[in-house]
Amino acid sequence: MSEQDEERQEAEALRLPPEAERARAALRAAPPLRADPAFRERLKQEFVSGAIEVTGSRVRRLRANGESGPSRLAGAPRLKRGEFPGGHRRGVPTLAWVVASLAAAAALVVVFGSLNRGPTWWVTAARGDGTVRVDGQTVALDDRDAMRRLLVPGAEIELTGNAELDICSNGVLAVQLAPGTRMTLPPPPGRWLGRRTELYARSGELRVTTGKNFPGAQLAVMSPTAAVEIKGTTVAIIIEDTGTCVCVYEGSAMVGRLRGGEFADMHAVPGGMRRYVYKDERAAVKDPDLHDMRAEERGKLASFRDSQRPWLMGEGTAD
Amino acid sequence: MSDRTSGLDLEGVRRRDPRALGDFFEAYFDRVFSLLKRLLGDPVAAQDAAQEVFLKIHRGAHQLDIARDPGPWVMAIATNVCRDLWRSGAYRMTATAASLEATPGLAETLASSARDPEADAVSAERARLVQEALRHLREPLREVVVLREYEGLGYDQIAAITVLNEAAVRKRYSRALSELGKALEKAGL
Repeated sequence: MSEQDEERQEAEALRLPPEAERARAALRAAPPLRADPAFRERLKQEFVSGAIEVTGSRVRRLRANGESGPSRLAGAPRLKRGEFPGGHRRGVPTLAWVVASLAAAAALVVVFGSLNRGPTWWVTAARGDGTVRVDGQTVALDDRDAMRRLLVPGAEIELTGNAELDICSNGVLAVQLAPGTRMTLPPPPGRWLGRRTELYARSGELRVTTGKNFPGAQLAVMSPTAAVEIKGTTVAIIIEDTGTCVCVYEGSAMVGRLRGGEFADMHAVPGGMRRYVYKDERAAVKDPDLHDMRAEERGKLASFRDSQRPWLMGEGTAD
Repeated sequence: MSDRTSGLDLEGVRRRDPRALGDFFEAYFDRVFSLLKRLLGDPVAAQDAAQEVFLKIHRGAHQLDIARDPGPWVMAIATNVCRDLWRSGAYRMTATAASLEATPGLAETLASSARDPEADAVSAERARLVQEALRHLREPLREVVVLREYEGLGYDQIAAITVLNEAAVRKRYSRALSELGKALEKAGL
């Protein structure tokens, strides 16, 4: 816009309607707006004495504290948080932020929890002609859909007849349940947190082997008499009337006694060896009853581990 | 330098001499407060802003140029404080709630100029509408029109305070008056 245009616009703007002209004249005629004398005097005293440097200004304090509200210099009542001069109130921002933060934190926890959860349990093989009872429900061995639905952490599994079941948590753990086994299914170790998990075996025979994603995790297997700590190995836990036999095929495992719910008398059992934890505690605490592992277990464990290899590598599929 | 400020001991203000500061305060407070109150439209906000203005003056006293009229410097500080407040969310909330009750002096002053009750009522209503229209002007326009109309500053002085060129100040002033006129016409004034 040229200078002439601006001048013309200003001239046009100045030719206001008479009412607006009168209003403008009224505003011009208005005397200065006076301050509250008490405020004026107080501010003058602070300005002259230099106290204003100490007390600062409320505007600055508001900025620093994130507050808002009217001046208290003139004795105005202190407003409640979130209240504004003129009687308007707005929602308390702090509460909104707290709620939003909690919601965000809850969402993060949910997301993290779901990401942290280890792979679910799959049936990788089922043999025999018996049935599986999961939490009291009898399921046919070939009913994989029902099995997948029921095999959740904490499920009580019992094999009847000569049914045999291989299950795995892809890339993490594989467990073989021999006929007559009764156990509680553990949650797979978490990916980052909750890396320790516990398996309760009440009867029968279990074979456990760990996968490529297991390192750093820990599995505790507890039978009525024995406690086994696994950090990466292949073992068999055989529960018998006289006690529990733990055969370690590879790696090593800590094997001890379950006494009053506590792990006791824990000793490392290397690969190729077994430890028998007797029910009547006849084994000396300082001299664990270590022997070569059972010959038949060597073959069973090798076969089991080989059969689970794709899943242990995290490359298996559900069915 | 204006009459009211010509006798000021600006050297004493630079030294923060209490007597000089007192005179300086007396010379500028009413003008500053009036400007703040008109720009902000709220007496409470104007008090807060006045304290901020005089704090800044106290802190910057040693930088005062004794060879020049301190008026534009003081008005520039006041205008900048208002701008800071305009940018704050708290002020915006307050501004929406402001009404003529917040500036009773204006209504009373305007109303008192009329002698009969009917004229008083009309005058008060007119003052309210004018103040409302002014308050609803965009802040950059309000700033220019208030400095021009109430402070009687020239375009060059407003330009120095608002850090605009003179042409831009004229443009804003004419636009402000134009918008003010339209708003008042719409309001039936």
